[in-house]
Amino acid sequence: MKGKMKIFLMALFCAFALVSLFPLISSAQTIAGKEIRVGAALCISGHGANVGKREAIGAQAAVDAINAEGGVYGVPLKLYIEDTASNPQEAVNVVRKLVADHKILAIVGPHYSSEAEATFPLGNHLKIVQICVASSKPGLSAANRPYAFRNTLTEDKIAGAVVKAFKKRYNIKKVAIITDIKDAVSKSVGTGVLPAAFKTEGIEVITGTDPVTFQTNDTQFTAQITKLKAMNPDGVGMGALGPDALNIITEARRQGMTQPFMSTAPIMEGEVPQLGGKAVEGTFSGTIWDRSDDSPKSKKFKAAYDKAVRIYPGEYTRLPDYYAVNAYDAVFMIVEAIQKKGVTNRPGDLEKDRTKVMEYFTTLRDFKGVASKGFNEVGDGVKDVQVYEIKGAQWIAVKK
Amino acid sequence: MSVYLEGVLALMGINILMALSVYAILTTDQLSLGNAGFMAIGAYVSSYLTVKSGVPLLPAILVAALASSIVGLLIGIPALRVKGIYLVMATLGFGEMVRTFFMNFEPTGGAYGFRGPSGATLPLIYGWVLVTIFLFWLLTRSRLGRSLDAVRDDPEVASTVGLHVTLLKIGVFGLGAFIAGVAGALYAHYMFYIESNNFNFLVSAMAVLFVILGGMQTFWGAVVGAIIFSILPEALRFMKDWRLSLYGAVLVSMMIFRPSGILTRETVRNLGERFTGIFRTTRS
Amino acid sequence: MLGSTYSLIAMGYTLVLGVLQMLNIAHGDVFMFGAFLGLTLAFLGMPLYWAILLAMLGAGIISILVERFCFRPLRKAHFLGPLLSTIAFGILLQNVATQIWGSEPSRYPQTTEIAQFQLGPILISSFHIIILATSLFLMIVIDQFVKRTRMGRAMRATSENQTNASLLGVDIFRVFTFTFFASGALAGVAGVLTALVYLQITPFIGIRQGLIGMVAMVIGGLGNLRGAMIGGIMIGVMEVMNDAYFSAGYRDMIIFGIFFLFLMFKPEGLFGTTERQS
Repeated sequence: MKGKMKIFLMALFCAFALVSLFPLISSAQTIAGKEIRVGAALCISGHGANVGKREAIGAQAAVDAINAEGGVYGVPLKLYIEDTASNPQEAVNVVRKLVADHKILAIVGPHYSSEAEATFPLGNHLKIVQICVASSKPGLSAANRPYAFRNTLTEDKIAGAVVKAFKKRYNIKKVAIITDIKDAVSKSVGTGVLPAAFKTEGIEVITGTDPVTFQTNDTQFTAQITKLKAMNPDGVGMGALGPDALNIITEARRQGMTQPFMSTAPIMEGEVPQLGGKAVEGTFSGTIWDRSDDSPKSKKFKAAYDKAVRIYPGEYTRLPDYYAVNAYDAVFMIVEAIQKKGVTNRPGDLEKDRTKVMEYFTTLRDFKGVASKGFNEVGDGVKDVQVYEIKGAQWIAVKK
Repeated sequence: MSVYLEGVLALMGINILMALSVYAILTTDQLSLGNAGFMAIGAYVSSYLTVKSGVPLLPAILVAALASSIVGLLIGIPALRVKGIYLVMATLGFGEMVRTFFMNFEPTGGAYGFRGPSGATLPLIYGWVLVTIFLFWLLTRSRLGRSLDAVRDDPEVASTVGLHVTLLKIGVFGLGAFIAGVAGALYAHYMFYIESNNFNFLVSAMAVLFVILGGMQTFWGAVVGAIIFSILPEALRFMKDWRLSLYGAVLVSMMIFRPSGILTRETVRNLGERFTGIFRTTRS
Repeated sequence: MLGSTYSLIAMGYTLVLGVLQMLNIAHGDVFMFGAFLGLTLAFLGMPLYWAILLAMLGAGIISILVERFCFRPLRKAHFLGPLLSTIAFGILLQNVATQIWGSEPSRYPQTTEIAQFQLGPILISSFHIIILATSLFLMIVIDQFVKRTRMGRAMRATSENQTNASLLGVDIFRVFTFTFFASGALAGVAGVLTALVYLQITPFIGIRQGLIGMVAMVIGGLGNLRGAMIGGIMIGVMEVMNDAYFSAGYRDMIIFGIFFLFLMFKPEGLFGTTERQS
């Protein structure tokens, strides 16, 4: 039976070859479909219109950059941007729309903590990953595992680094704290994060558990500054947003206070150095990225951002901020998840694909982004902190 | 059903309830621009009960709405002393007082908000909507309903005929507050999170706008107004960042071109006749 | 500011209320637009006085638009129609302002050195004095205007009874236009002074400033110009006192609580009203 044996062996060999070649063939077609859909739920109108638009541009910049290099295995990305109007109800509608109508794989956004508080639990019900790019309200991601992620650094990590540098520079032994009691993040910074950070550094907090208070967007701070001045601290810690911090420091200088001020990431927005003049020189803060950064990745981001500005052109979106960077990095993270977890992008696999993205993020600790390294065990961002000080009407990085 | 459609319908149902809560009080010619305050009470009380005390959802909604209606009755009493523009401002003030109260009230989160309520499904929301609509439908057919019309059209005559004008005027505040309380409870358990800013003046104002634009003469106007103006912001999404500006412009235009609202008493009657007319012809 | 801004806003509210018996909820947003107009003009290099005048003019014109779209067409509608329409118009103004000037705060960068005096917990700067003086000046101007000029008499007649006034030959539509213009101009001044002197402005500042202005108007007495002015100052002082001795969180509760109590128990305000409770 020699001839038949030969044929049989040939057939067996072919079958074996085919079977071993099959994975190669199928992996070359890992990504199905004409496009890979990513969603963005950001504020294009309302209170957050400026920041939201910048974040959208940041995300679009990432999409453009990836598509310019061939997309993901040859399939281009498409970004679906929907407007949350800075409003939790709209944010919820928009997440639902992105999930149901646009069938996206993951969502970049929302921006505000008050939006995320509503959309995060929804995301767990709908099993869709959301990467919030701005909220830093404590505990928000932790309360919404496993699909909620925030590509931001919580304020306590920033405060620790800034307080250390502040103490070193100005030899601070006792501080007073002034805080916003309306804005949730500022309130938590002023009443929780800063006192703890000061305590860790052995600095006495004169205001104890009773900081001087104000409300967001207040028109005058005369009474508050008078109180602070009377306490005669070495320095002042603020739980405030940029515009309020600017007014606080200006008023303090008007009343003759010379002490230095410090706060965390929020005051890095609002053009404080540019608008504050001499009064704000020497103020300390910290964040994960500033426009003055010129590492190669930052440069690539800035170039991509300049091109993507076309989607929302205008004076207020011309220059990127660190939120836009968070959005940019978020898109790259999603793409990495798609590649590393074998997302198929087939319509029938939509739920599985979304879960794969979530699984990838859960253990992502060493991402090489412009200013992002991944997420920690509760879903908050892992990043480096850079301390900044106002010098010559700009934020200048403080060398360690 | 698409998850998106589900969401739009859920918020629309809550808006219908808020519009009806305004209508209830309007039946006695009192305009309340502070119903977001009653909504807040319903939201916070029900959430506290379900999240912190483990009370099941339905009883929690009832208790919360009851609490809200008690506050409503309490507001209704001093409201008797003021009319017209003064009442409008007083209710506005009330709404703001409630909002700032909850901003400071630590046991329900204060400025950090309240996390955790859940469980408001579409059937639950529309169950309440249908019950409330049925209630109003009964009201229009009842003696009580006619009494309310009398109080609105001519309070002096109404009282000479023996109607307790005072009781009715206070009572509708209680009713309106109850309905708004239910809306608030459903809102909280749908959104998973509430904070005081969710119950600001604009919420009260929109509820009133739904009623006025839909047609103040019948309760169907409130329903239709809420439906149309809940859908409108979604329909205008193609306008991108001009969406809300256009929304405001549409509202202003509607006030100009159809000041008596979309549904007037006549329109409802005509529609009603045509509707029952269909039945008559098919039966014979 | 010690409430001087509130005074100006309250005076504008009370003018419209006095003549038309109606609240213009978009008034706070007219204030906001005036602030942005002044800011834009200042950035274009215009000297302060011109910026104020032109911003007043601009705000006055926007206020006339409110009258044309929200009041005039709705004269036959439900008496609260105009009020609701102004709420919607306010939404329109806020979002258009966001499109033009962005959602983030804008601020006039220079602050020149000024004199200051301490009065208890309150520090008064020369800016405060300027604003206070301006409010006082405008109040006197308008007060005298209403008392002595023909238009003023026409305004008073219209506020008494529109039908009668018109039968007596008053062009009530001109009165409406003028009243709204004046009201808007007052808001415009308040806005410009705010932008140039102190506050960082966003398209949403009108909401709270408008509401507080309404409270000031009620405390002073509806329709009463002097009352509006003093009401505004009282609230301003109350705010500072609250922040000095208590926490800022209670501020609005106290203000709206007082608002509510006045409406319930002293609706004529501290200085009497020109309104009839109809």
